[in-house]
Amino acid sequence: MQLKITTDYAIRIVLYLSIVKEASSQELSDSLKISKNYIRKLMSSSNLKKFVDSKPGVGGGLFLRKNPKDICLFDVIEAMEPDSLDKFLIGEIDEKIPISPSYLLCCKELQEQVRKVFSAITFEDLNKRCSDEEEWMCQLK
Amino acid sequence: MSIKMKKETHYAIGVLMLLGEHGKMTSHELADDLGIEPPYILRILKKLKDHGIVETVQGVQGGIQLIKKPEEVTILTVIDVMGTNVKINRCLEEDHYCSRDATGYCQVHKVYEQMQKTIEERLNLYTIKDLIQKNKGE
Repeated sequence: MQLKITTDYAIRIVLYLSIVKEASSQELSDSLKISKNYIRKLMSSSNLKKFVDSKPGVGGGLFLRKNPKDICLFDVIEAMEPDSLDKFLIGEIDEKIPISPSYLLCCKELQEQVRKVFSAITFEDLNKRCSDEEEWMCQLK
Repeated sequence: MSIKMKKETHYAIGVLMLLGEHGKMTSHELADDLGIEPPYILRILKKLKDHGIVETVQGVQGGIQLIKKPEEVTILTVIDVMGTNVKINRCLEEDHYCSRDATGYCQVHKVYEQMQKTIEERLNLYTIKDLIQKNKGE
């Protein structure tokens, strides 16, 4: 019951770009330990394009379409894995499996809580937290 | 979040709710009530027995019964016993694997950790008794 690796990578990329503003795919690959091919694959999908744009050419690079304060963690998770939170702790609903209504209710409550927490954290918040972390900043320099 | 909640976990919760509500039941009765094959229910019961949640009572009046009270069996326990992984991201697993080797300082990891703690605390609060009562509208 985990975030997909592509979602984890997308979060890393959005966070990195919210800090450095613009970066080449080579820089993203080196700093975030994601292969250039994978970054290319992510960028060719429409999901990440909702948040990241690219400028072609020698001086080009990748940058965020929106202000980091306007992108929350849940936005990226939902874009990369639409409706996945609705399956959290439940899985695919199979009518043959007698899932207790009270268990479903308990899962729905938890799903709502996860949604609230991930919606309340913006990339600006994460960016600020990162600025306080010396080690993280060292990784960027 | 790609969720692979095991079917077995749903059935195990069903088994425990039935036993919590009706007391002793045979494996055939449990299988009938849940609409599954007896060999499948035995596999689920073995895991629950191995973890000291249910036991078999031998004899004519025998059957399967709870060892613990329904209020002592939490949903988190059942999920753990059935081997479902509830970690919301790979970096939260025991080996803390991260391709950047950044779990020590990564801020997103810290958010995941906090979220994970909340989820597990909640799942540890809900018990089989709560589920039975909620189903009855209590």
